[in-house]
Amino acid sequence: MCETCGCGEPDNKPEQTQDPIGRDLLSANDKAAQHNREHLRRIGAFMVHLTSSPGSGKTTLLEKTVEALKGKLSIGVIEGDVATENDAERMRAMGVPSEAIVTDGACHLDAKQVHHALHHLAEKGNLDLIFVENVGNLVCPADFDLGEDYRVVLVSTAEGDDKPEKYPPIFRRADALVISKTDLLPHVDFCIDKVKKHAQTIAPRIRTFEISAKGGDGLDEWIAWLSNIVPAGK
Amino acid sequence: MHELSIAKGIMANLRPWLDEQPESLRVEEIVIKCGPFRAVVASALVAAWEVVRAENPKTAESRLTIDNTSIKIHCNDCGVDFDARRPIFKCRKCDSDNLAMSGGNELFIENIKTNSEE
Repeated sequence: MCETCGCGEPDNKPEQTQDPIGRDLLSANDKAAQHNREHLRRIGAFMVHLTSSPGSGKTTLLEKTVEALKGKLSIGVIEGDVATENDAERMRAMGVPSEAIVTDGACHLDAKQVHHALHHLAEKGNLDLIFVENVGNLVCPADFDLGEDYRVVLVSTAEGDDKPEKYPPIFRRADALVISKTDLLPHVDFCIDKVKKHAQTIAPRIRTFEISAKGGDGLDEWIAWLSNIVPAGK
Repeated sequence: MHELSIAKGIMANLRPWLDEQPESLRVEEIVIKCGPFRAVVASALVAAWEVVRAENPKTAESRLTIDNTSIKIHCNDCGVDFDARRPIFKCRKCDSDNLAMSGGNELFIENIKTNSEE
């Protein structure tokens, strides 16, 4: 049983069938992720997973998102980082319930880490919407389902417009793409249409947003989408 | 280095089966089917397995072989189908960028070779 709430902690083991042939090698993580989804339904919250390379603006987007949804949705944040709690501290400074997962070198979060953080967050109040900010990395997080309802990949204009071509796995399982730092477009060589086209070739149903968190452009559409994915009545 | 997590996944998937095998069994080779969308570096996974395999005497001398699969690509303009080892964004026949991709998500044990088969 879970040490925190007795919910039945995921055991990080695959199903106990003996035949190891053909079963996905991350089935234990997938099982823990499914447990997280069930937990989220029990507490009535939805979870959005943000993933990107370091410095693409995930935390700044979260700060602007929290400001925009203040009084409308109750938001909590799980912040993954290799060596600090800097991002979690930024969210706490805004009064947002936040849990830090410091990986001490590990390049991605997994579902069991998120499970523990979810329990600690739940102790801080009833939440409608939980964001998980993964470790900044465009490779390793791709394979690890955290139990999120939606996965969002950010690509900032300063990174270059070839990211879907260079890192296709991270886009393959994404529900949405945020092209961030659009205020920098006059200063960089970045073709938005190219990024969108390549991302949609990899993930045909991916939804795209173009946002300048600093200037505010594109935030309204993002906020409207987030508001819609949390069921009415929450 | 998420390949270490994947190597641990290999052992987690093997463990219940290994526990049922006779003490004398030795795994000689494990073949992993791996698709391009799983972001696995084959050499890193082999290196990670060389650490993880020591957990069980039945796998301690086993070697890992990676069987890379392909992505199936269909051109929505000229209709040609072809396989690719990594995503590509221009049709090889007509240069169109109107492509659809499928497959390439495999990551599982395809075959196990043991000393009992000799």
